[in-house]
Amino acid sequence: MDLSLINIALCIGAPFILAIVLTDGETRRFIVFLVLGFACCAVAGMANEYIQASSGVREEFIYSSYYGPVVEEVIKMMPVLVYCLIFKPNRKDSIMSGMSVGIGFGAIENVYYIISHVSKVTSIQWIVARGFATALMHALCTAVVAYMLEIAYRRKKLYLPGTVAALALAITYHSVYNILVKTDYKDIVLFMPILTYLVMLIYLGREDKKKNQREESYEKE
Amino acid sequence: MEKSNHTLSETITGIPACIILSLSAVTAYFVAMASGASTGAFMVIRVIISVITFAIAMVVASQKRHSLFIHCVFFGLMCFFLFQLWNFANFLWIANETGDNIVETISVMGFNMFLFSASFGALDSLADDGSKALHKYRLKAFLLTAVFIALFLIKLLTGFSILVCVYGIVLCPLIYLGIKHILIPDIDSGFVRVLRTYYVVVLILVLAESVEALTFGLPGYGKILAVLRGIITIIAIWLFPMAMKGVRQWTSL
Repeated sequence: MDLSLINIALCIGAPFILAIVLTDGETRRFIVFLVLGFACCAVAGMANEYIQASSGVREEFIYSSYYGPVVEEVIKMMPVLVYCLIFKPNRKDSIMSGMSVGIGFGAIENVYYIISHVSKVTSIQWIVARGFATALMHALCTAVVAYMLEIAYRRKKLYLPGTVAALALAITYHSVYNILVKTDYKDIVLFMPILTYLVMLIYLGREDKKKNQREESYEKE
Repeated sequence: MEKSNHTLSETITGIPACIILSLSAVTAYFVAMASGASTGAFMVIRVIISVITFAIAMVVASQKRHSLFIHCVFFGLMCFFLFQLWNFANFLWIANETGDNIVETISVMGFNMFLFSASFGALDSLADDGSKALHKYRLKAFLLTAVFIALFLIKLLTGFSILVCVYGIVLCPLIYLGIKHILIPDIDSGFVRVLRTYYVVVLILVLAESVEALTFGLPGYGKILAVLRGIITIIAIWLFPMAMKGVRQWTSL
């Protein structure tokens, strides 16, 4: 079994674990979920290796298009699911937790790829793709799952359907990205996570604005 | 600005807009069939229709704060659009359309789970107060749904694809809710009546998906799949507009 991902996650995660003690509030929460993202990447790497070997799917492209997204999104969802189920956070905290897990996941994945594909690292296109697109895609998928879990977990009866639905959306997005990024149109596809991120920022900005307007109107009354 | 946004959202989710979009989609499909177009052409048509459907939902959903019900329908359409995109990308760069693939099954399940969440999470407690008086409607809905559950279980026991059977069984709660909310009388709020059109659309959609699952692997499945998926994509055009129409009528009661 390839232990590189575990080694990378531990080496990079260790200073962050020490930093948890020195921080509090939102910063601590961000670091905790970042470290959990590192751990999820290591676990997903081992899970992918095992499943690929036992499923007999040899082609990397097929595996990363069909099975990899399912494994990775389920594993990334776990910390967020526990957080939403037990702590019932507000929307902003929930999205931030999801985003942090995804960022941590993407960061470790990037380090692993740099080490495994040293010759490709000299290409600016590759650096931009891994740094700004793939890692962002991971962050967005988990952020969207967290957002939906927060909504679903306000109503007990939506626990199961809400979780399945949120996961399905993330898996499909991830799989679409993985397929398109290996084609000749990858230069265009790299903008997919960036565009999604901008739409999410605009949507969240509008929600904040509407919430502030509502609060102001309540205060006036 | 609010007023013009309101008019815009009413226009793009109005029945004339839906009819125009549906007729355009049907025409495109017939032209493609008549000209003997390949599977890819039909997929392109479906992707374009789902992009427009999703874009309409996004424009309306972004204009003001909406209920959980509308949110769920919106995310369902997002999932549906991604499913169409995935299908097309998979067909072009990996394999032919098969209907038996884990990501495909999960994404369509997600779409249906969003629609189920919309009905179950937001509306069911309003429509059904759990009283004995409504028992006969629940029973009728259950018996009709049981037919589908039985069909999928029989298929599973006779060696059918497990993935497709699981997907079919997951559709059944939505079939149950759709039938129940169409049959059930209004208790007192009046919203069941205004949302009946939405539930008719949901039911047709889910029945088409069930037929697609049940006919998996039959001779000529490729052609059946292309037709059924076209029907599903065209019906999905009506989902968000009918949901919005119902909510508008309900809030004006």
